[in-house]
Amino acid sequence: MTTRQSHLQKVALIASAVIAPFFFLSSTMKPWRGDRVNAVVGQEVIHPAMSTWHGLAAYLSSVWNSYIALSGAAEENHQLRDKVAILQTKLMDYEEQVRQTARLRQLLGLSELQPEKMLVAEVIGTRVNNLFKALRISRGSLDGVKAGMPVIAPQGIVGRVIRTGLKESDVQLLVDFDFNLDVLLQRTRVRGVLNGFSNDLCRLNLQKGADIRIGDTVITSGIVGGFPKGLPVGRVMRITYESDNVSQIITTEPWVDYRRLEEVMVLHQLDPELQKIVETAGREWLERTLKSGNG
Amino acid sequence: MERILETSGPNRLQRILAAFWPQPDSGNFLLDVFHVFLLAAIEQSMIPHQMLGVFRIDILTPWLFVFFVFAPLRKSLPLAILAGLLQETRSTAPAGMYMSAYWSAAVTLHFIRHTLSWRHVGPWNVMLASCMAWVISFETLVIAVTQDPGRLGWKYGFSQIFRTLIAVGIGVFFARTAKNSLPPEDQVG
Repeated sequence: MTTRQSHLQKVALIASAVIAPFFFLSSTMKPWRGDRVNAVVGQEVIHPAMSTWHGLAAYLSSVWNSYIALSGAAEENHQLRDKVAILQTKLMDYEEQVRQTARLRQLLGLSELQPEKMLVAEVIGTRVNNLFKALRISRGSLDGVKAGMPVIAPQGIVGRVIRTGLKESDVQLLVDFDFNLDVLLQRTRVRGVLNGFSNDLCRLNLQKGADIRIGDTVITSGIVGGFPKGLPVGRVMRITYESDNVSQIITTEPWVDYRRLEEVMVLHQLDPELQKIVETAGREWLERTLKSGNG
Repeated sequence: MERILETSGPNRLQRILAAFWPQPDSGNFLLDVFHVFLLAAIEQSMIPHQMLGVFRIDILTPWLFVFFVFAPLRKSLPLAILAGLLQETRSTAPAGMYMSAYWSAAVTLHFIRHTLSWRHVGPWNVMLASCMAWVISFETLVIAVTQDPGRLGWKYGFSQIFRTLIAVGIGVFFARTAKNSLPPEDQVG
């Protein structure tokens, strides 16, 4: 290699080092989405090591909890028996209420969540404390999971599938800054868009006049995002007013504690709005968009 | 007698462990790629994401910096891309954030690595701390642009200082393991 070539190579390298950050900052700055190249590299190869570790950790944890950490179990058992008696009475009442709700739903023409359209998945890794919040679940494209599917837990909304591998998927959490969800206030039916915020909280911007109280429950609106209507999202924790005197910021605490999640349910239900677009623009368009990171 | 010792259980185990030990720039690029996957898997599944609720532990990033010092660019740059991809596909970090940060670090270290010597440990500490500071600054800039700048308070600042210190320690440890694998004449100088 001549001196001139070597010099040019050096300049090109230095230029690439300087330009790389600017090139990135000029991009859309959205996370990797979709289910192909990056999933193969980022998930499939690491999968055996992660699943082995997860299995081992779960086994050790169950051995510890089942055989070793049993101090106070008898007392707890006694208390639980009392609770069971109370709950059995309540359950009878609830069963009647469920039947009544089902009848009312039918009357209103609302569809119930069907168990066959759900897929139970195990949480095999979390990045909740990270600045960019996601968790990994044990179901992937082989199980029929697709990017965009809603993920819920018994307590409420967890997030949405952002990437899929063959046997595992990544879920973007409700508290991630890049997550938006159309919601309703249960009491007043005021609608707004909720998005992730710092410290595992969410934020909702509403007009100043909107009727809201601390402790109000936030539920899904079911209009966009693929989440069925009425699923619990969180509760209002704090209300602050913007300096423009026009809007108020509602800080919401999600019902789901992401650090304690062990199982989640993936709903086989894509965003109906997105489905309409796909019907119009075609499946190839969606796949291209998801791969390019704009989806 | 020596032969018996060599083939006995503990020695064999030691040899296997030595072969898979993530030594930066092992001489075999495929083994280096394997090490990146191994470290990513350990970091993402075994290490708690926030130690004592305060700071995060990186092992892949300091390992990469040491690798960039030892390895030529034709190995460093592909590994920078791969490691960036692994970091990004595990979270909702914007696509390209770690890749561009690692790329810049790889090129910069390529040009300054001749100034590092085993004679003094100081420059190694400074190098690792500067590289971590670069990655953290870049992360912070992205958070400030895409998220709420209000979260970048004193707690965030302290946690990043702890994170840098831990990473420097881990990096020096990896650098020493790489150093020990060099011939004695190279270790001196």
